[in-house]
Amino acid sequence: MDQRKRLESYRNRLYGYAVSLTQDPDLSRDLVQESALKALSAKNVPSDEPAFRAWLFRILRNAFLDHLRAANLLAGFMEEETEEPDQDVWTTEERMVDAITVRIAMAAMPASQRDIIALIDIAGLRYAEAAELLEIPVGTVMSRISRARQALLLRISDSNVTPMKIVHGGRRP
Amino acid sequence: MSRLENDWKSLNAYVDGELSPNEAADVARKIARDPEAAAAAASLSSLKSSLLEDAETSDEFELFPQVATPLKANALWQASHLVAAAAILVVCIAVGALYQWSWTGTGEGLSNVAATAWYRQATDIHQEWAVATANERPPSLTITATGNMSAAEIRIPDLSDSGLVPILLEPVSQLGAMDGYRVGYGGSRGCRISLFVLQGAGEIPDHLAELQDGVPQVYAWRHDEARYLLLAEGMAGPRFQLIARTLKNVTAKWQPLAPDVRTALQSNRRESVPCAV
Repeated sequence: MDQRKRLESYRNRLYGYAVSLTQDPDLSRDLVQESALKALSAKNVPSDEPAFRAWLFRILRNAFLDHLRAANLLAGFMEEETEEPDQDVWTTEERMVDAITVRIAMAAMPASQRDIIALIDIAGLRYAEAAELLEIPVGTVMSRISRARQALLLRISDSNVTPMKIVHGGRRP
Repeated sequence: MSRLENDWKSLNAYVDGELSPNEAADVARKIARDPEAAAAAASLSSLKSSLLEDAETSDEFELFPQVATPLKANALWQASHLVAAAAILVVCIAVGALYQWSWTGTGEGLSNVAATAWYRQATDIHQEWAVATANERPPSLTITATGNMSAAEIRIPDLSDSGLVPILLEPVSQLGAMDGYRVGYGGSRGCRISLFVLQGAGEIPDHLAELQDGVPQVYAWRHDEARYLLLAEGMAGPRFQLIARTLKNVTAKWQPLAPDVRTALQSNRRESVPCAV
């Protein structure tokens, strides 16, 4: 696979991650194209796939941070979300989750929480890879992702209410 | 830190495949015993699937605008050759691994399969369930009397990277002379697969240990005392093969999926047509 095809295979996920960060489709396309070109012209490209993926999403995230810096908005993004959701997380379990609902709920999340969720679930980074990219300990990634998902599920549970089934009585073939 | 918070973090790490085998087994046991934890795990799995699904359906646009094509051609040429060499190596390894798999088409293999009584029972269970839930959009986790399960240890492999989430966990008894449980997975594009985990006096016929592409698609294997039977219908052949191979490896060591396996499952699912149920 040549470099272009390799990058093309990540196009949708790069775009999905960019939208999670920016909430702006046009800006996301620009950032993804800019990042792809940077990757294409790079001299030292990681050969193994996990390292390549982490490297690629780091380029995109840095491009986004540069954009924020230029617009003097970086400080707002870097603020950590420290507020703990006050609802019991287990109360969100009997809810349906679908792509549309998740997208709407994600849009209402703080940027830092969208960032960690998208890095793990869209970019597909391992905790250690996300920790390296964000320059934080792995334990902090673990805390952040669980807290962010908790907040996301609570938002979803406020908008989507189809309960899951629990049936008693086992099958005996 | 509260016990509840620890449980939630562990559950997240479990769904992400970030726990050690022992830790993952602990969480899997909790999921099997506790419907609340199982439902939370299903919600997390579907959250991951939904995010990925949404990202994969992005608007079409050119990754490389035409104006950018001639940029740094020399550097590109050098880089592309290095990457091509690495990619060829990866492809060779993948192809070699695939060839080690015995792939049997419809025909003689299936007629032998059909002759096995316990396999027919398992097939009936899977097909009845697949038809009954065909119009249900996962995730909807159904847990059937898990408290009465006789299996010493219940583990639920994570297939979220392949777009499949557990939507059923139920005990199975007297399947041949074996008991155990079944995990039913569902995808958002109509796929339903069943993984039977069985123990007891029963054997897997040799021909079931070869990948069977037909109706249903089937693969069986054993590790130590446990027998595993995987059933699917209408799934793209390469996707079923990869899932079967992944499950066989997972059930051997119960370790989190390696990054390259997760990537392969994701790519494979992306490139596969929806299941024809």
